[in-house]
Amino acid sequence: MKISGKVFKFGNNIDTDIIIPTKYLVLPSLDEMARHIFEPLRGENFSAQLSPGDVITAGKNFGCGSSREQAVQCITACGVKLVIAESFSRLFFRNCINNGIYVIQSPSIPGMLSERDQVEIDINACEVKNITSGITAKFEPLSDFLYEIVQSGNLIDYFKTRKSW
Amino acid sequence: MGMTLSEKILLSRAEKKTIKAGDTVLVQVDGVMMHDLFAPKVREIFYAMGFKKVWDNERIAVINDHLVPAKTPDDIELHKMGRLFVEEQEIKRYHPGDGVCHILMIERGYARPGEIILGTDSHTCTYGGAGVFATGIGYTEMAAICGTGNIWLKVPETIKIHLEGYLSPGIASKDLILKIIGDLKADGAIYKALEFSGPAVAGLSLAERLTVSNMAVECGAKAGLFPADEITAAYYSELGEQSVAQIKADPDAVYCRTMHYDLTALTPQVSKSPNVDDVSDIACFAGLEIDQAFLGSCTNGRIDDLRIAAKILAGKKIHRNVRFIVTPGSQRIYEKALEEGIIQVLHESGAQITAPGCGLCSGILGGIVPNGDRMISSNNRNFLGRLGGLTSEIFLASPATIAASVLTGKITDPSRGS
Repeated sequence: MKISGKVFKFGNNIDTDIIIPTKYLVLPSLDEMARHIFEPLRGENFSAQLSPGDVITAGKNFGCGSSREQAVQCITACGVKLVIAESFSRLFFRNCINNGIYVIQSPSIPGMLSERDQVEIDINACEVKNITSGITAKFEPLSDFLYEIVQSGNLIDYFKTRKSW
Repeated sequence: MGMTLSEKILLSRAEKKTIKAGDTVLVQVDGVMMHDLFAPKVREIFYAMGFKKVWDNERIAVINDHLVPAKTPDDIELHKMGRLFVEEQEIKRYHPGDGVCHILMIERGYARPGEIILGTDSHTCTYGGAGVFATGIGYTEMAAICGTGNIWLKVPETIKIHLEGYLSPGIASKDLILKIIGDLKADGAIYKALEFSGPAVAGLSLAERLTVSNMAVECGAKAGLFPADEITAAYYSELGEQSVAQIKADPDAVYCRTMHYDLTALTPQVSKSPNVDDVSDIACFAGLEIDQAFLGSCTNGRIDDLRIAAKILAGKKIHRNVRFIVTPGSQRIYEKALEEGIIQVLHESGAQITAPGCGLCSGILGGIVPNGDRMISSNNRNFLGRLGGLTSEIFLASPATIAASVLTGKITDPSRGS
């Protein structure tokens, strides 16, 4: 599987209140919620800049804070299928897997990506290629078990076919 | 080889002979908790996954607290969907609005020592104070547990926090956990468990331990565990549970790191927004004027916390420029505070006392802090804009620090007397 798009880059300790503030969690649909993605940091129209295939990268402890799964689902609603960070909060990591987002955890790859760089990620080859800079890097793949959930699309589809863990 | 508390509890619920940090294991869950924000999604996903009946209707708790009392008609729709799930599945542990989920889970004995409990809230780690392996998950996984009774968990490495000494007057376990978070930083315990041990543990009440474990997630920890000892057993015995497990780590358990704290040397701490790990000695900020103060939340909304505040505020008036909001953690705590005269003391001092629930800590109910205002608060998070305006300033502190500060209208050290 290959993913290609633009990079949107964030710093350390980006919490889920920033990804989707609590006051929007009661909105009736995910699409309405997703319009407010990263609003405290990037203002009101950030979601319009995201296109399918784009990649979000961040520093340490990405997705820390609240358990709100909407933080991950708003990211998928904007067409993002892959996130790369130096490290993740465990809750956010699990929520990504359960919603079919591929997660790359790497201490060095976020440092080779800049805002708006064009990237291509080959998941089978475990390779990130920064088209803009020409730099490539390898990453540690997810375990087979977690990749199976990601490939199912999400944990709902995983259970629809398997019925148990 | 000896085992940590996490390893012991996870092994006891896994179909394995041995486990060690780093293993991924499928475990049998003892109980789950979901709150009003997410119960409707759990219901929807549970049925979408193809499940028809929950694995055990006596081990599931549905608790309304983030939206109590509701602010909008949409909030009530969420409560109705949660109630529908309760009725369809005949769920026994249903609380339509009588307290904060993490306070009720311990108050009602739904989380017991040695158990594995999962909740749709990051502060589920609170129950670690009672020797429970408890952590937060999303609503999709909650639906999967409701259907199967199982979840996969990675056995965490553990940071041992060795505690010595005694808390001095005016110093609280909140100061201890703030200090630890300041040292470990927000990502210092990612994927790991914290385990509290040492001679000082026996001097900490269950409520003090719960406050510490509540904030374990603020340094990224999966769980923050205290041993379940005589103090824990005495608490559950009062609830009528005579046979709860006493559980502690093996002396030769393997830790990835050990940190030492002397409680006797501890001073009041404050955490400055927008980062919980930006922790300083109160001396750095003492004297800064405050506009608002909040006493409540799953961190410090217990009767012990209200007692501390009432003792400091008895017969006194809060500063005229301060809004002081007090939210008891549950109806039972509210009732006890009424019986003990605490509500009267706080009321007469000038506090605004609200109905039990998450209150302003959820960032959506009454008491939201406007831009430019400064609040001192007993809760656990001060993220950018979480409690109101993006330029509001939130200092996290202990109940004693909050009570001392509302009197002067300034951030005030409660250990210095008045």
